[in-house]
Amino acid sequence: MGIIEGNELHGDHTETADVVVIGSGIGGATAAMVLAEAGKRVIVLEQGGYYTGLVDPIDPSRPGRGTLDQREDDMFARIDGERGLATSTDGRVPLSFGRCVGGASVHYWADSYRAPADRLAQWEREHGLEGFGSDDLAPYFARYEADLGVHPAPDEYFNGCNRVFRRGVEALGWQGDRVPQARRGCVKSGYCMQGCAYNAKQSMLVTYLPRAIRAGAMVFADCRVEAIALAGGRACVARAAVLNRDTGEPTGRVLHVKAGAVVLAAGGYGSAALWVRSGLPNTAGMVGRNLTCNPCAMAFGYFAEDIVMWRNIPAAFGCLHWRLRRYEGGRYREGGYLLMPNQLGPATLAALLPGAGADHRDRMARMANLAGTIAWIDDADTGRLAVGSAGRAQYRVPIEGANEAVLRDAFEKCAHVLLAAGATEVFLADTAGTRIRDERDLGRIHRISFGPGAVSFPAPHPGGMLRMGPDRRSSVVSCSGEAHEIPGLYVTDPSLFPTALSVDPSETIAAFSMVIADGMLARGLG
Amino acid sequence: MVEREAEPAMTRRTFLRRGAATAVVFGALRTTAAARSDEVDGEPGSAPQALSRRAFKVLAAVAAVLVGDLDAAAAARVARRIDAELTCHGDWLRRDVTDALLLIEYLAVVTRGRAFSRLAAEDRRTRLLAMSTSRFALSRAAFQGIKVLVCFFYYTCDETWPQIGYDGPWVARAKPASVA
Repeated sequence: MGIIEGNELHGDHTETADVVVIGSGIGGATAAMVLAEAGKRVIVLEQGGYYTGLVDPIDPSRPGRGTLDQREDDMFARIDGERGLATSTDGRVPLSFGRCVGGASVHYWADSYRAPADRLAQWEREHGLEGFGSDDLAPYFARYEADLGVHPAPDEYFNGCNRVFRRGVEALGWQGDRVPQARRGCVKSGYCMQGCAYNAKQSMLVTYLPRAIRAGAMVFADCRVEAIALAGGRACVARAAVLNRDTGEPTGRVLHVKAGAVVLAAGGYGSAALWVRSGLPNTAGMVGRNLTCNPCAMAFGYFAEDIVMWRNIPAAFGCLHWRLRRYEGGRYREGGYLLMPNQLGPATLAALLPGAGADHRDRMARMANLAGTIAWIDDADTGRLAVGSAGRAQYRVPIEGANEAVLRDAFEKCAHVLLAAGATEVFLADTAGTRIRDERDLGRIHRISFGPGAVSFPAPHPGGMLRMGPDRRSSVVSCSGEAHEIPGLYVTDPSLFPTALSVDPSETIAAFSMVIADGMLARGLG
Repeated sequence: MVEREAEPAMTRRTFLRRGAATAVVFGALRTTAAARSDEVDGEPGSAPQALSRRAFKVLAAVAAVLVGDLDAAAAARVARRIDAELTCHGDWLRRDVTDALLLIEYLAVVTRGRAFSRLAAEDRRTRLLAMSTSRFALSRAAFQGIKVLVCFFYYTCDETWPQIGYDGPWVARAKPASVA
């Protein structure tokens, strides 16, 4: 027991539990662990499949399945939502999210930042959050860091890309630091985004889910929740279609879970969509609004030295210098993003590099000397969800306006670091492959097209569409994590963040989930 | 100097509406075009699973030039992998890919007097590069969408790795994702 997969469910099935958790990523797995270890009967429902590396994550004395096999095609298909091909409404923003047991933590980079104090203070001041200040969260952050072995990246984690990135940042006099990493026994293979085959990256697959299972939780894989149902106005049933993992299509079998409380943690893109599909109350019209997702700018540079960006870890050294937007005379001037070295497998890199034919092949042939930079912007404008009549979710992510200004500046800084590091050739990841020969060329970035098909802005950190706050007119869930209008329904994923976080959100998602789960226990599950 | 374009944001609906209008125009062109075989060079007779034969042929023609002068068999293998991938998605993606391929195919009739798949390799490459930086968002989006698929699936083939210095994964391949 522990993990039950779709092909093990031979007919319609009904389970009962104290709590049903929808989603097994950081928000869901953390809540499941806290609740199960407190003695509650917990059932976790996960739409994606169960994939493991060389060692079984539940019973490390046994071999794993080897289905985290480091191939980009296999792994996008297995662990990423829509097999890695989801995009925003106009196609400009590839949407990155997890769909497997462990959720997005299986493909994340293991970067583990505490929520910045200024952002938590802003959430308290402008959005009325209570109980989520720096001091409130400090013990939860400490617990997560101890559980997952979070530590600053040592020198041995620096690949060529990290070395030149650090050199560039320091040459420019910008603030940079070693990135805190959730890893134990990292072999530096470079396949973090494909799911760690060695159980070294401390994803939920190898940490909190096994702990939840050891405490009695059951995880159902291949079970796509179709609706959350209410009884007497209270959330108490999750109805899931059992999927055929080969095809992704429903088998016709159904799993019902009746529970005293429902934890919604289907991810920053998925939770609000499930809310809408379920027809849950949305009196204030806030569900599905306020989407933030950290769209990225990217630049590349060739160096005389070996880089080999596909080995070792993605980001050992990060630049927080431009984390906050800066204004001059009330007008945006620069900043508002996290600047990092990039790591892409060869196929993903090929899809992003400009050019065609011999030119593209030449760029790929010099891949070992190629370094990349990436900037996750702190969304200045927000997007929204639309669910069509067939239930298909579409996400509008605005690139125009304030976001455009921040993205252009982010491209400029991405290129500037590479120039400062001594790159022999710097270009953007736009279709035209805009060349940046020296600092005088940086101004060109402000004239390139951002229209459809001109640039891609991958967005890996969705949130905000079920935002938290005390005022039911401007938020969806209360500061206890419980929905204003639906007793018994809790949200524990980044959907509840009032704004973008300005750093990688994983650790903050876990801390919020712990606080909310502790509160559920304190109130007898509400 | 690349000039910044002023253009309205294109929603998915707009893309499809423009794509549908374009398809109507090019459908008329297609009916007047000379009869030609839909067989794919290098893989005669093998039926695609998700795409039409026409769309598949265009895809193979794009693949042949996009990653640098592939022979017909190699291009067909890339197209075959993309076709297989499309069977794992909903109809919406298959329709989008088909619309993009038909746009590439029949836009060349307007600009070059022949369908894309009937152009010489160098003309195909020139045509694709022109689409990649076109002032028309629909052209750029069609190019970029197909390019992402072609490049991704070409460079996930083990045989391509030696030419780019990639030493490959450290663990054995598991069963194909579709049956894992």
